[in-house]
Amino acid sequence: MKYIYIILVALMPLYVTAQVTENTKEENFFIHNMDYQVRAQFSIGGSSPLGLPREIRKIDSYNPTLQLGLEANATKWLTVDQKWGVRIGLRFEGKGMKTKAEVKDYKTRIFYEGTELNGYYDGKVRTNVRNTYITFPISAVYRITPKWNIYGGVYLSGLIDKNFDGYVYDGTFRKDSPVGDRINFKDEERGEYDFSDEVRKFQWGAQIGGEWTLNKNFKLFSDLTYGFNGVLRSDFDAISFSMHNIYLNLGFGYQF
Amino acid sequence: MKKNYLLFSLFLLISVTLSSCIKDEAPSKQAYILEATIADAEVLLLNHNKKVGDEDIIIFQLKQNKEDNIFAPEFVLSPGATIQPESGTSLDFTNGPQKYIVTSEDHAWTKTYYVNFILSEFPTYFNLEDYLLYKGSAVLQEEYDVDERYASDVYINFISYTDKNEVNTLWSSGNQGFSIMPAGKLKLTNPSQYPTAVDFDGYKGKAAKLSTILTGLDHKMTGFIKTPGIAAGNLFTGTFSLNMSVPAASPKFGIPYNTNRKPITLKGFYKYKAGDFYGAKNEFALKDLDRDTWDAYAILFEKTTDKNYLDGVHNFESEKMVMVARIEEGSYPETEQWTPFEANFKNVNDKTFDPSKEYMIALVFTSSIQGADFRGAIGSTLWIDEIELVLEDN
Repeated sequence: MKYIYIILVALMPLYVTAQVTENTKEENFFIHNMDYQVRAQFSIGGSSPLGLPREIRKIDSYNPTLQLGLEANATKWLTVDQKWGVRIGLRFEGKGMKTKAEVKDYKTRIFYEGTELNGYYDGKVRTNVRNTYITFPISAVYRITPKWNIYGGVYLSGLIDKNFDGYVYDGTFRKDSPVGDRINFKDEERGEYDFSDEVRKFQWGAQIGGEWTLNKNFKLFSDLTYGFNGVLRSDFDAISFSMHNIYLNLGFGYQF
Repeated sequence: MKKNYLLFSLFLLISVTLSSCIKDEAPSKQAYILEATIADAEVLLLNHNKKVGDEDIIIFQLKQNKEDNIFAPEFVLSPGATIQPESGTSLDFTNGPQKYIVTSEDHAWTKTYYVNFILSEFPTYFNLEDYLLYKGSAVLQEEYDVDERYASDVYINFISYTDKNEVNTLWSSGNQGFSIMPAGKLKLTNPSQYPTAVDFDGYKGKAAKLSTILTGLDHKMTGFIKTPGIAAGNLFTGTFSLNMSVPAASPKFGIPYNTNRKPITLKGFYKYKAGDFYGAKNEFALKDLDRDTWDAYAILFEKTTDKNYLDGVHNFESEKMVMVARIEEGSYPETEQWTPFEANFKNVNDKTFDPSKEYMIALVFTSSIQGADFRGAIGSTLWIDEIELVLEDN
């Protein structure tokens, strides 16, 4: 229900747009009350369960890695005072991270060339995520002051390039059940996993953020995006919890 | 005004961070015995190696007879686990193994162990008549049927019985490792398809059949999990504990040599057929050998408190070795008839046998002589039976 509500809020300006357009037929829709912007961003975030599950005992390290994005968008101001607008865009973005965590009784699957081992793992896990998406954000924009805009809405993303892998080390894997045969990973020994093929092709979520007008052309912005569906396919059960894309984007825009 | 929005985004960040906090630790699901011992272990036991692997049979080998058979085994368990009967409980082992049940901290998982104390003269004759059926590392309490369909991780391990008809798990093989990875990939349906299997048509009664088998795994040996492309059938005295980064080091050779008589000769009967396929790209080709051959050897080595074994990559270079008996290269060719073989013990490392010292002994048989390097011909098969260690008379 929550999601539907968010969609409605996001789509409402579109309806208003249609209304407004009819009243101002003589003016060119694409020029009048329109802003065009290109943006560059970097993203800090990760693929994380909302609320860490009990299996995760410790985060040893986290590296947001350099994740860049480029966006072009258009904003149609719906009111003459340019208070309300609707913005659509097209964005190429990377979402990724590297983490080291310690887990306990973590249900997972280790792959090796067509052989797979299902079971439970206690120990350290390294995760590398590097996915590239083409994203269509749709937002409502509200101008609070001449210098400040806030915006929020939904986005739809398609996966272009994927990578979700890592390895387990310094721990014990138990085959099939928590009391099954043990495989120890000591020192430099690693058990690799690669869930790249399990990364979901389609993502959707919400975003909320603000932008600050530096001068006539330049804007600084920051927004937060949250994926409603998990990063990995829902029928994928080698990790017992669902992970979501949660990213903070920081960047600047050039407004024409 | 600006401040407000900064605050707003800060709040958002904080709320996300807070919901990501580390939760209270859940009770453990593990239920293992990690170590097992008794009071005065050094005095009473031959092999007081306290570490317990995945095997569900724990055997304490006694040095000599005790008036009664009452012992109070003490256990170290995985975190939070509990055991019934409790650690330190005195039990009577006169009538064979006692059953122990370990329960995980979250009470959802249990593992059953059988603990026994055996007293055995040093065995010098191995007829290879007896085996147990295993699934993973747990003993299956059922008869093995050659024509039955089994799960891929079911295999056999040879055992011996003591004079009192008690199980002595002195033999091991790579079968347990094979059950974890290749067996599933190869979709095995019967323990006879394992590298180490029982043959019902031996020289006398049953025999061991060791085969060199294609594992079906990627075997570039460059990844972090090293998976060999072939597995040579092997049979050895000792234990097996899978080592993912150096698979060849998984076998741990050696059992207590509880006799003060010097070993003279290793002998037995064999049949051998060499394979001639070395993989599509000759990837398992032998080094300095034209045709695959088998190997049999025995090593007497000094007992140590730490790492009291020779692992599969010893390469006859261990300083602990005292005497070695190994079949002579080229003396025992391929044959379809049961043929006797023998190898005499020779001193190595300038050491000599001292009856007052404690030793370990490894007996090792393999269907491909370079199997430890994962070289060998697919299809090479060794049958082995009626193994004997000839000892010097006192």
